Amino acid sequence: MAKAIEKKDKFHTDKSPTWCPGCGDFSIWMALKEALEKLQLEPEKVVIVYGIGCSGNMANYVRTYGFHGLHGRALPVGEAVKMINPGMTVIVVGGDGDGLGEGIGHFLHSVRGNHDLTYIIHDNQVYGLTTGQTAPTSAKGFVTKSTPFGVLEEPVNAAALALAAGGHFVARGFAGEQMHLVDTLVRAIQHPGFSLVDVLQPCVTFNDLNTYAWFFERIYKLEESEYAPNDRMQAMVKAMESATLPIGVMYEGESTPYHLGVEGLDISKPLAEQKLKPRNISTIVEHYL
Amino acid sequence: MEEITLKIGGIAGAGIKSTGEIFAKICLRSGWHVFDYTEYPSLIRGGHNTYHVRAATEPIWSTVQYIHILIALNEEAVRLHLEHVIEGGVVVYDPSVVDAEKLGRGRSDVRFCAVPFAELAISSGGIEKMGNMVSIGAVVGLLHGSLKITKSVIADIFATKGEQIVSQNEVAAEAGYEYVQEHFSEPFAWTLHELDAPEQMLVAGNEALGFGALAGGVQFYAGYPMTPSSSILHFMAKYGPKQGVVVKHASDEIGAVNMCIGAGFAGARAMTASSGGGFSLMVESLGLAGITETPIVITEVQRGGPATGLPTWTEQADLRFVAHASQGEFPRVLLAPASVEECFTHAALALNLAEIAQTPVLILSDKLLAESQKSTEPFTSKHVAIDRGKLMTTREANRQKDYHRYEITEDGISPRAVPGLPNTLFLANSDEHDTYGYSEENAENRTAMVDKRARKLEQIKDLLPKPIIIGPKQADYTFITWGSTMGPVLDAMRILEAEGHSVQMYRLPVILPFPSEEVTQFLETTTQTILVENNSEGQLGGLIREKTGYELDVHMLKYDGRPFFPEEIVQNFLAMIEEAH
Ligand SMILES: Cc1ncc(C[n+]2csc(CCOP(=O)(O)OP(=O)(O)O)c2C)c(N)n1
Ligand code: SF4
Repeated sequence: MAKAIEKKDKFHTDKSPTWCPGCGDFSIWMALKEALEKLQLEPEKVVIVYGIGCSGNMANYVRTYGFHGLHGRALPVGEAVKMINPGMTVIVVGGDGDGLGEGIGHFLHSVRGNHDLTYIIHDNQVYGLTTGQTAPTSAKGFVTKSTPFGVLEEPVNAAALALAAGGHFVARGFAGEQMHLVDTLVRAIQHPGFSLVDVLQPCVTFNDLNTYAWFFERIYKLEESEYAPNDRMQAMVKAMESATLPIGVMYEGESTPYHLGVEGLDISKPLAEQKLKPRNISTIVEHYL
Repeated sequence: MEEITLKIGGIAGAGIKSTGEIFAKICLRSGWHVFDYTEYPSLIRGGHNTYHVRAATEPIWSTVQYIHILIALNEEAVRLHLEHVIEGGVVVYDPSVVDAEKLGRGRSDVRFCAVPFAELAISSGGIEKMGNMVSIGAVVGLLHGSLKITKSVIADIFATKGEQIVSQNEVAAEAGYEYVQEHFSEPFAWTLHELDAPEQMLVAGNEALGFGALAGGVQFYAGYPMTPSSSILHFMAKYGPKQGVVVKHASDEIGAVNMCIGAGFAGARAMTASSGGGFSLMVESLGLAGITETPIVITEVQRGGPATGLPTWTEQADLRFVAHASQGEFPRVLLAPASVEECFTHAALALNLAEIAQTPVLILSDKLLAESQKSTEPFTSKHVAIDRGKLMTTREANRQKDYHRYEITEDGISPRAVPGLPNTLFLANSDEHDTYGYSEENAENRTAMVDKRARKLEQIKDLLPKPIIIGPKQADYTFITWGSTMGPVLDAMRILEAEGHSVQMYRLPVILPFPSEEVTQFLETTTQTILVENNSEGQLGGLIREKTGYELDVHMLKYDGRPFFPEEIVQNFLAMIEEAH
């Protein structure tokens, strides 16, 4: 992996990642940069908003406009950036604790709103940065420092939730399948509207259940089967599979992004570039005379 | 000064607010100054609602308790409010609903005018609901006011409902007007005569904030409803989009404020508002705006707290909370408008300050200010100027070779780029960061960044309104206030001055950065100070003590959810003097 990190690309910063050697975050990071390259995007045309967690630390390692926000709160920031500047490609990066714990409300509302952004969840079934407590995606019975008697709750299924909330692009990736992840991300970024890419990511330090080997035994690629991702109910069946884990695009449907419906938004030019003059309020004042 | 006050009382849903507003507008268009005040419990149906309109021939700033005309829509209105009807006052009521005369036995100094509201509404060709218009017509009749103005107000209010509704309401008002001419010819002590005065508008604090934000170039507004801040969202949603403002009813307050931060980061002037509980949810994000140096404006419209508290009542008990909200240290501005005029100017100013200092600006309002309408000179954008501070243009960005978003500058403010500009990539980082925005925890960097951010406030000092002194210099007594309590204090001063007392008022329109020097200098020379606040702890008094070492002499505090009434301040003042002697 070390070799690939040294590769200099236009999305490269000179900061060295602080992730644990072997962490799945490395390949998500490289896949994302690769996808941006493939789409021939310029760093100046991309905004990435990050949550807080090991996943969010990626903020320092990708050379685009970036916003490293609060734990669980990245999505509303990204939504507004897209509304204000629809010309930018907006990507939101977060962890499973971040986006499905603190931020689960924002997640559902962002899907419902079909805000045009790509939401990448680093789904490692554990809290990495705070040293290994249970995450909302942890398996039932999983033992961690904060759950010494095993998790009692059912795990959150991000893909199924997004489908239930009306999501128009729902995909899963795996950090151990980097090239496949690049292709999935490319499709997600191209999709107009909200796209979820839930990336299965081994945390080699704190999760000894969901390891690379564990995932390799279970995953299979949807693109290698007859599966056509155009049926929400079928997608739901795929999303709910548990003995085996499909990766790839589960569902993609017709989609009108949120910002196209916003009354008053002049998308011809970014708001920041529109000349600001004090507004004439006289016609409104008339209602108050 | 001539004065007329009218109170309408009845159950929620009886059209009390709209009736009150129509009367307020009739007074306004007759050239009078107006201040109104509404009380309602946190119920949609049922419960006792009131609307109090005060009109005067000279400028007024507050509501009072006394009543010249009481429109009683139910018996409770008579029971609760008759004691405040002054000698020579009148109770107007529908005898088929209320036996006011019987209830009011013992008040031979008050006139009881029975007007069959519902019956007249129906016999004039309308429906029972238009009884409210009959009551308005009756009141205008008693006051010898203008039927023409009354009709013009009705026509405007019902314009969207079609001609038939307009004319039915007009006829109902006329029926009330004629009825009193016929049945109550005995002259009434007060008349609503037309004044030759310049045109005024009637506006509530929340709407004034909306006007100020629009004038000041707001481009993004996100909010989540919470009384008494909701009407800012309603105003923005109604008028914003036509003016190119993106308005979003967010999923919650955390979403709202983070959207504003995203919009501010992306280069738009962004604003949100809530009340205490919603603001509590925004607190972590307030610090996020501070450390990422993202301009945003947050208005907190106070109600009684804590928790859900008194949703529809007024209080000023969030001063310390808002002043200290969020962990850590970062520069912030806290404005405290005291009138609808200041709500307008402060909103536009706040948008400038936020961009100039690249930091959050807070506006602290309260229910009294937010929901009371006051007459004022029509707002105009003429004197509004937009200053975006060190926001880069594309041309400036093009010249950048090695852009540092958080460059350590002498004034603490760094040139600001926004996503989409060339050559200016940066990371806005909630973690402490270096000059590019990359996470950096080393000791020197941390100190330098904290210092850099702190220096900013120095740059905007000259743009901030100074403490305001009203009244004779070197008065014997000084009332010290902030926010909406200015109104009742000013009106109390008028009464006290007339009685020969030497009083002045000292008010802080800006709480942070705290004007320590000015306040210290002022307190060095004052005699007796009286702190007037709508809270139980004297929060501004505490802040003054902290920043200047001065303890104010007398604390006049009220925290029952109701605003101060000028009469009350006068009474407290007189009792205080009495005690001293
Ligand atoms: C409001 C708030 N609560 C808690 C934290 C502490 N915290 C930081 S990261 C994190 C969990 C990280 O887990 P996850 O989102 O799954 O990301 P990972 O580190 O596994 O990539 C927590 C609880 C915080 N920063 N802010
Ligand atoms: S703790 Fe886990 S998620 Fe975080 S860097 Fe290490 S391996 Fe990766």
